[in-house]
Amino acid sequence: MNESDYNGLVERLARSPLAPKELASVREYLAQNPERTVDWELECELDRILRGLPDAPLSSNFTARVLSQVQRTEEKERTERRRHVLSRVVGWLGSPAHAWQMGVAMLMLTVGLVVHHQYRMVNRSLLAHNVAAVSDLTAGKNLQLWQDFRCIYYIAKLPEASPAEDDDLLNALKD
Amino acid sequence: MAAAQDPDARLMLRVKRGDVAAFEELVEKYKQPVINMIYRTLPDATEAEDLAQNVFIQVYKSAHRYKASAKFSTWLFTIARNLCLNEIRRRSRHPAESLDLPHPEHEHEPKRQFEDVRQAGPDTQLLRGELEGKVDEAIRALPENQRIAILLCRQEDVAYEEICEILGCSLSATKSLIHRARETLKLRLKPYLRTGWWNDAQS
Repeated sequence: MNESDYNGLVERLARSPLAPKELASVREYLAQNPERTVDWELECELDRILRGLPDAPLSSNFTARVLSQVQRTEEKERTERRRHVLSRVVGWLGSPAHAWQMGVAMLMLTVGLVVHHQYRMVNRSLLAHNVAAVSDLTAGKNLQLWQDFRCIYYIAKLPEASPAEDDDLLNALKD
Repeated sequence: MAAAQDPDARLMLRVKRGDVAAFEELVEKYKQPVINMIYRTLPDATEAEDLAQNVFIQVYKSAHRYKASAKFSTWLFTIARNLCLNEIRRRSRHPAESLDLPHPEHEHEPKRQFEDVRQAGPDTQLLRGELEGKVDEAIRALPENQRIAILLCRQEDVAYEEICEILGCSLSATKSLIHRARETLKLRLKPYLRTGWWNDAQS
């Protein structure tokens, strides 16, 4: 073994213990270079001390403290974000131009809702009226009446008539 | 190990999606290695633990930026190193504050609970304590990068390439840092290092 190999093994010693074969190589090298023995011993001793260094003291509830701190940090960030959004909204509304625009938008929305509501009410009323008109016709016994939409239309315009008169009218329309 | 095969990277990707249980698992696994690295930088156990806590909080807050392009441990120890360096620089600019005053941010935290792990007899404990004290002192006296390099070197599952990434140096520069750190420690600890045993052991 040459010096370079020896230095390589000394470097390896810093990471992990040497294998018996490697120690044998070191032994041979030191037998030929006894002046390196003290240095080798110092390296081994230092390695032993560094490996034997105790773990740093650590509280048993370290993890709980970390999780607690993380939770508090998250809550604080959420509060800050809400505050930031609120202050931006208030700032935006506080501006006179934005307040005027918001007012107009609200007014238009209200008018739109009212118009839509009225439309639905009128539509519903008209539908009810038409349903009532059709339901009057169901009093008639002649089923042929329902096959001709023209008949239904004209009969709906006539004043209330007896079933006999309706039959006469139907026959007349057929002709 | 490729980042994709790193189980810790997969856990961290779960943390990125908001999985607190995955984060807790990572804290449990790495809390001791992280504080082992920090403890021999800051002189006080309480401050070292506070800094270790900040490391993990920083990990959680940076989860949305995490990419599994390297091992999770590399990323973690890089954060720990950066926070250590920031703290050292902060101390060099500001005088020391009292360690007895409670930090206002930590008033609501559960109190620390330390276990008593001493088991050796008083004499052995005294000798061991003295040697450990000298070793700690010698390590703290090392330049920052040498200290971090040698402390990371202690952890067998941290490869040289990872140490390079954490320190931001080349492989040869990293090995040089470790070598110089060891030479300095050998010099400082020589009175405590046993010699003359090698030939006895071989005979």
